[in-house]
Amino acid sequence: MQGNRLGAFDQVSDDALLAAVAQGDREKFAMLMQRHLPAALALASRMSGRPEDAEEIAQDAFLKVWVHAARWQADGQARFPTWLYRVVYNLSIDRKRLKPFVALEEEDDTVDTGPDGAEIFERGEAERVLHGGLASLPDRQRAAVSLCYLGEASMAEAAEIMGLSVSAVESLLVRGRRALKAHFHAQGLNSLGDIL
Amino acid sequence: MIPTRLDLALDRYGSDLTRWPPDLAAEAEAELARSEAFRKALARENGFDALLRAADPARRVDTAALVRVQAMVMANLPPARRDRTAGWLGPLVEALSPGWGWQRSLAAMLVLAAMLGMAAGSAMPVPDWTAPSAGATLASKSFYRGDLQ
Repeated sequence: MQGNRLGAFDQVSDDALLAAVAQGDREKFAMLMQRHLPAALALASRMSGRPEDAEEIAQDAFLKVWVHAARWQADGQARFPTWLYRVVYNLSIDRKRLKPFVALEEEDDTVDTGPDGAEIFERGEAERVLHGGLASLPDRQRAAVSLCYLGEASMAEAAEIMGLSVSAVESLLVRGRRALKAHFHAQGLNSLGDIL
Repeated sequence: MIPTRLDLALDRYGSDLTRWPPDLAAEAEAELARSEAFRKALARENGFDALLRAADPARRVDTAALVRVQAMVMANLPPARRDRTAGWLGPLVEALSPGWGWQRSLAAMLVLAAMLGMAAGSAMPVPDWTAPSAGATLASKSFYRGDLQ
């Protein structure tokens, strides 16, 4: 029974859900959000670097979807996720003008003193170093890396989300990758083995 | 010696050959079979990609965050457009019915006419709401497009 219900959920297209949302259907809106919130929140956290900001960005993005659902045109070409990520991307850029990306070292410095404290601390240090790399990238390089390397977007989708040409995204990826490598190498990290 | 095309492709597409354009991926497969230098370069990029994934801030997103966001959104949904319209329209239509004074009927007609005007206005082309604010647009000059294709 449960399997049948899940199957039916999967079979409803985004376009059909959006058409219902445009009519004020909260249940279909919840389904749409359930389907796309994980990826939207992931992109927001990659762009903002701050979990609480990421949650607010994702909330704002879905509220915009609710309000503007009637303007979605199901023409078979545009994909809803691309539309949504574009909203998340732009909200992140807007918010970043108010609050810059935060590297982990500027956040909570609490050290766990429990039995596994040392291990957790070491892992936390590694995470700080790694996170600092992303934090050091300019917005658009971080967006390209977030969408293509960490997310599942193709170059063409990333270009559409960011409002750039594919070649511009490729260029951002090359520069972002080289900058991250330089950052990691400067910290003595060349592979995952260096921090495990 | 690694061909420049493949060296650049490593920087551009990373170590996962399934994400490379098919022609370049085929070229890379052939190079892998004959070049130790390329195998090492690909292994290095693979190590870097693993580092990058370890640095992914999205790894800190958990189920609790998803539940929290969904609950916040559902709790803060504004009334649907249809509900809002019904809320205004009901009393206005009632005011037009016989039994009400002509002043009230006239006022209701004027309000309805204004609403029709606004509805006509809302049918006009609107700017792209997904675009960043004016400040962001200015800051990034021409890098944003007007709307999605």
